[in-house]
Parts: sequence; C-alpha cells; structure tokens
Amino acid sequence: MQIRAIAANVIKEAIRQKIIYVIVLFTFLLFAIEPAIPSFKVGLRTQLFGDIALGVAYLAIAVIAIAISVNQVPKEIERRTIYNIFSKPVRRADFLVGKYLGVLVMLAICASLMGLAIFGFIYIYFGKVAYGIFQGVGMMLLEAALISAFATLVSTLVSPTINVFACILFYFVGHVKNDALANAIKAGGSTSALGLALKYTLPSLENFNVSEVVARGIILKTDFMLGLLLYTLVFIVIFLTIASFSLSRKEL
Amino acid sequence: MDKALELENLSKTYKIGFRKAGRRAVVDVSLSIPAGKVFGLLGPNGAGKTTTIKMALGFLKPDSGQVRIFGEPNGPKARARIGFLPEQPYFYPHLTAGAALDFYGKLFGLKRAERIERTKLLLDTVGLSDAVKLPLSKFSKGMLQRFGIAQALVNNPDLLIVDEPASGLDPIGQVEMRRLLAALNAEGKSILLSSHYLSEVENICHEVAIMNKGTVIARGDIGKLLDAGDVYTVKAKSLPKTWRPVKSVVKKGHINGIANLIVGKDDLDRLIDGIRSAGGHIEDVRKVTKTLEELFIELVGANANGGSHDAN
Ligand SMILES: Nc1ncnc2c1ncn2[C@@H]1O[C@H](COP(=O)(O)OP(=O)(O)O)[C@@H](O)[C@H]1O
Ligand SMILES: [Mg+2]
Repeated sequence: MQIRAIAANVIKEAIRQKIIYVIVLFTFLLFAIEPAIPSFKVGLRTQLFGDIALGVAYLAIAVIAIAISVNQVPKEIERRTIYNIFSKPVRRADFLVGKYLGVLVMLAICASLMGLAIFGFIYIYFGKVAYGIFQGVGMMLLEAALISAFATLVSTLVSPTINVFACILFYFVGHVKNDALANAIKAGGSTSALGLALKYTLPSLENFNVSEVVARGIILKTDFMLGLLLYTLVFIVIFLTIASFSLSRKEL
Repeated sequence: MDKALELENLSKTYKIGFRKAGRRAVVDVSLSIPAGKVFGLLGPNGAGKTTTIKMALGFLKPDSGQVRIFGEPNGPKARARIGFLPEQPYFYPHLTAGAALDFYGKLFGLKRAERIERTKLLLDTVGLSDAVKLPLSKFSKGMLQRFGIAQALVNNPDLLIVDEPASGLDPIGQVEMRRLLAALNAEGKSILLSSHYLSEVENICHEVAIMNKGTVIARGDIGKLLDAGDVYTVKAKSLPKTWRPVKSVVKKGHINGIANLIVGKDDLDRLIDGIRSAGGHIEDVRKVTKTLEELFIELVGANANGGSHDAN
C-alpha cells in the first residue's frame, strides 16, 4: 500500500505539471513531418514516416524519462518532505520502488499516447493500419524504463543537473553501435579504457532501436521481445538495488 | 518504568566538504524518555537538539551509540508507534489537507475507513475542519504547524516527537499548541518536545534535559532544577513607615505601598509575625523559583567552567 501511495503521488504530480502537453506538441510535430517526406510510392512514404515519427517518439520518451526521474528523490530531500515519509514505517527501498513505478506508469501513458498519435496519423493520412507501431511503443518503453532506473540511481548520488549530464552520457554510450565501437578499437583512436569499460558495463540501448524494422511492417519475434524484456529487467533490478543501498546510507 | 525512547551515548560529527575534521554536533548524549511522560529537550539554537532527534528517528546514522524505541531498534515496526513533527515542516503544497492526511495514513498502512475517520477526527482536533479541501500551499504558517501535528497523529502514536513545535506561532498559537500537547499526554502518549523557548516547556514537561554545544548540561525534574533553595518572597501592605524587618530579610522594594521582602525559610514565620503585629497585611507569600531563562544563564555560565548539574 505504501508503494502504491507513493507511486500515485508521482503520477498526480506529473499530471499537475502538464507532462501531457509534450504529447500534444508531439502530435503537432507529426503534421510537420508528413510534408517533409519525399513523394515516393505510398507504401514507401508510410514506412519512412513511421520510421521518422517513431524515432522522434523514442527521443521524446527518453527526454521525458530523464526529466521526471532526476527530480523525484532530490526534490523530496531538498523540500524536507522526506521527513514525513521516513519517520513513518516506510523502508527506503520501498520509497524508491514507489517513485520508480509511478514514473513508469507515466512513461507508459506517454509512450502509448504517442503510439496512438502515430497510428492514427498513418491511418488517416496514408490509409494504412500499422500495428507494428505498438511494438515500437513497447520497445521505447523498455528503453525509457532503463533510462529512468539509471536516473533514479544517479539521483541518490548527485544533483539533478549533474544527473542530466550522466543520463545523456548513458544514452549516447548506450547507443554506440557495436560495429562502430569495433571500428574505433581497430582504428586505435580515441576510445579510452574508460569508454570501453562503460560500453561493456552499461546496457546497450541500441537493442531497443526497432523503429525502422517495425515501420516496414515486420513483426518482431516473441523470443526477441522476451529476451529484451529480461535484459531490461535485470538492469533495472541492478540499478534499483544499488540505488536503495545508496539511499539507505544517505544522511537526511 | 517502561521507556518510550532510549538514547545511549549518541555522538554525531557532521562532515563538512572533504575535510576530515567536521562539526561535532552531538557528543555522548544519553536520554531516557519514560512512557507516558512529557520530556523536554531544551537548549539554544545549534545545541544539537535536531541532530539528536534525527538520530533517534534514523535520518542520521550516529557515529556511536544506540537508539531503542519501546525497547526495539529503529525499524518499520518501531516507527509505526511514532508520530513526528519536524522542525519547520513542509508538505506537498498541491495536496489538500484531507488528501495529504489520507496519503500519510496510507504510509501507515491504514485501511480506507480508518483513514477517513482519522482525517475527520484529526482535522477537528487541530481546528482545521474548514480547510479539508484547501491546498496546503494556501495555509498560513500557523495552520501548517497545526496540520503538521495532525499528520503526526495519523497513526494514533504512542510516542510523539515534536521539534520546536511553537516556532513561528503567534502567542495564542503557542498556548494552543501547549494545551494540545498536554491533552495528548493526558491520553497517555509519551512526548519528546524540543524547544529553545524555555518558557514553552516549563508548564508541560515532567522532565527535561538541557543541551548546550552538543552535550547535556543538566537534566531531571523540572521543579527541582528550578528550585532556588529555600527562599521566599513576602508581599505586605499597610506597614508603618518606621517598621523594620528581622535582620536576615533582604528588603527588595516598595512599590505602590506594597513592601516586597525576601527571606530564608528559617525566618519566614518570624517575618510574617512581625508584619502582622506591626499592623501590616500579608498580600502574598511564595517560594522563589528560577525561571528557565535564569537557570539556563546560570548553567551555561557554569558549563563554561566545566560544571554540570544534576537534579536527580
Ligand atoms: N547538515 C549539517 N551539516 C553540518 N552541520 C550541521 C548540519 N546540521 C546541523 N549542523 C550543526 O550542528 C550543530 C547542531 O545543530 P542542530 O542539531 O540543528 O541544533 P538545534 O536543533 O539544537 O538548533 C549546529 O552547530 C549546526 O550548525
Ligand atoms: Mg533544531
């Protein structure tokens, strides 16, 4: 019940802060993307549009994930509302899980709404039923969940500003393609030991990047999706475990 | 006697930046709060009261020492019996008083029906019934402090810990707060009350500890601490101008025809007899007690020379 109450509070606060406006903005953006697509055959245009729109949605959900995750814990500490929570029978780990689940619900709502917007747009403007979009939504949600868990962990250690930079770094390191990395190593150039260490300890976010595939109407294999779900869960559990350890040791 | 809260040899040094030597905020403080009593933790700003309370509640890890709440170490089970009002409390501003109390009720795992009942009862108790639907951002400082008390009582706690509950309240608010705390104690709740307004605690605490610079410099029964020894003041009027009291009397003053006399216990009877046989009227006789302010100045002065005071 405590976890649920804390999560519900996160959702209330996010709704109050009008996170939903980002979705409205996103929908308007779709109208700007459409005319920019070159006039190929309809099928190709639909694919291209779906790919680009999903790509923008991936970025948008990552930004939303970072924006709402970095502040959850620090704000409670800074405003001292945390004293009214941990003086009650709430474990620090439960508090973190509640916060995280609240953020997750918000992200799921945002991702679904963006998916619906793309789906609707394709249906109306291109006359196609692109169910694949929703697989993209699932994958972008997994990625956002992972980013959010990372942001939650870092939020127990540093200020929100530094956290944003850490998240951006996490995002880019995660999106370095394996072949790009291989090339960099071969070239012996600027890839430092630290970069390599980061690359192999942090999860690869490039795995989630299926927008091009699903836009082409290819249905993702269940094995692939389950595998990715498991991969994500493992990292989330690791991040949140370290986070609650770190929060437990924190002096308030 | 059962103990509500026991703090044993707590010490805390705040780390400042990366320097090794930090600020010693609390040094070897031991307190024992008997169940059912009001215990006052007194001391000037910076004495270490809040730090001590934060260690008691587990917000800070003591460098050394132990905390026991109703005989148990701090944990969710022990905290279920505690209500806490932080110093300068702050709550989610966008929640209404009702919604916020409901939220805090959930943190205690209270059922819906219980939460509804407690919310109504508590807002009534602290005089905020009219503000159920008002967001906390619209509350005045005094209202927030009262909401803070309501919030601390959601679980009907056995031990109430309040850190400077009167700060920021107007004089009427302070009196109300004192009455409320006394009433809660009458219901059987143990209370740990910290304050730097010495007069705030004088009338409601059974026992006090006085802190200064991180250590306890005096403790015990408040009556004994304030006892100035066997000295009395006697007020009398209609005394003839030529009347002179017994030798041991320190004649303090003469205001509006009333003589104010200070005398030791041994000479009290003789003084009163003398006044009456001279045709004077006794207006008032009372035992002299120090105010907490006086005691405090005395103690801090003594403490500077390494003294300590124990009234038990
Ligand atoms: N977070 C902190 N970091 C460093 N020093 C602190 C911190 N909190 C309190 N102090 C210092 O510890 C001492 C005790 O503070 P505190 O416990 O708040 O006293 P009180 O509540 O009696 O006014 C003071 O000297 C104060 O400056
Ligand atoms: Mg204080």
